[in-house]
Amino acid sequence: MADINEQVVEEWTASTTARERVKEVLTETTSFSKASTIADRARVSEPTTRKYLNELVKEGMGVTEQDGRTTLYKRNQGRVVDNRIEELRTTCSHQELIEEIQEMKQSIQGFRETYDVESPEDLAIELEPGDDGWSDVGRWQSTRRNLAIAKAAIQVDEAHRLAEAEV
Amino acid sequence: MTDDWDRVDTGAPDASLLASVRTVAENYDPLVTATEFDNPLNPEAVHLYLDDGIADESGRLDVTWTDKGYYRYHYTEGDDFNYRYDCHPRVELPDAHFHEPPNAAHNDAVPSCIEVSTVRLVTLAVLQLWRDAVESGDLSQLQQPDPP
Repeated sequence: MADINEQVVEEWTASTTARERVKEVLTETTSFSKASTIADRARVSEPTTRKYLNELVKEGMGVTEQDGRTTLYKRNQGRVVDNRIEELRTTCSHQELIEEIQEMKQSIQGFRETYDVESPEDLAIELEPGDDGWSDVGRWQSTRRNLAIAKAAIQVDEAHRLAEAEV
Repeated sequence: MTDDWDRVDTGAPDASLLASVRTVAENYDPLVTATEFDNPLNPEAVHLYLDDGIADESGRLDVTWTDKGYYRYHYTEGDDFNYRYDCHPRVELPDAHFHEPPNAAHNDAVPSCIEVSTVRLVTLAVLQLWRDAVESGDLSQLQQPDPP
């Protein structure tokens, strides 16, 4: 029987273009990475990967950082946030957003009270390796992020409605 | 339940990666019959409902991906049948490890056969391994060809 890893890679490379694969890998690259690392993951040659990465950066999908002579790439986190705000604004009702904002605020208050610290960064400092509670560091970070996005969705929606009304 | 995921810094659940899992799974039709986020505005997991099962007649995959690129694919058919493909730092095991059925307990973990690392490829591999186990009724299909 074919190795499961080879099998899924073959299906992927047979059904996509090199550019699609580079784009897909870039959208899940959350920390700065070398073109060669992205090329390996995308199953595309390094020069071709670099060419597509530079195009994708121009289109706003990615951002770069210089490490000496090496260019590092990652996804444009700001673009991800903007897309998410637009998605929530257009798919959630005002009431849903308000309710979820309250719930996320309560979750964050719960983390503060449970661990008696003010932020997930403080919690990470408090915890020892192997302690229970490490996953709450990540939960707290994502809840804080999603709370800001939900609040922004309400604000952006308000701005759109006012702009429409005043024209 | 003892869960090694809670004891290491795995990063924050990432809504955009979870959305990618859902898209890939929905395109894997027809056995993925429904998908939903545990919390649409603040998701930690996406649930994939499967219209077939190994010990039972249906199952569910609970999937989490974090902004550090770690993942958890927990397959459940209720209390009696569970297994899990995990990728996160763990003492004495590779990042990618497999919690064996039927309990998926902390001490059941062995190295995973899944070596690919992107959202699409891991999702397709987990679904394909599940399908192979469902069709053959052979649990060893969940780790093929052999654990590395």
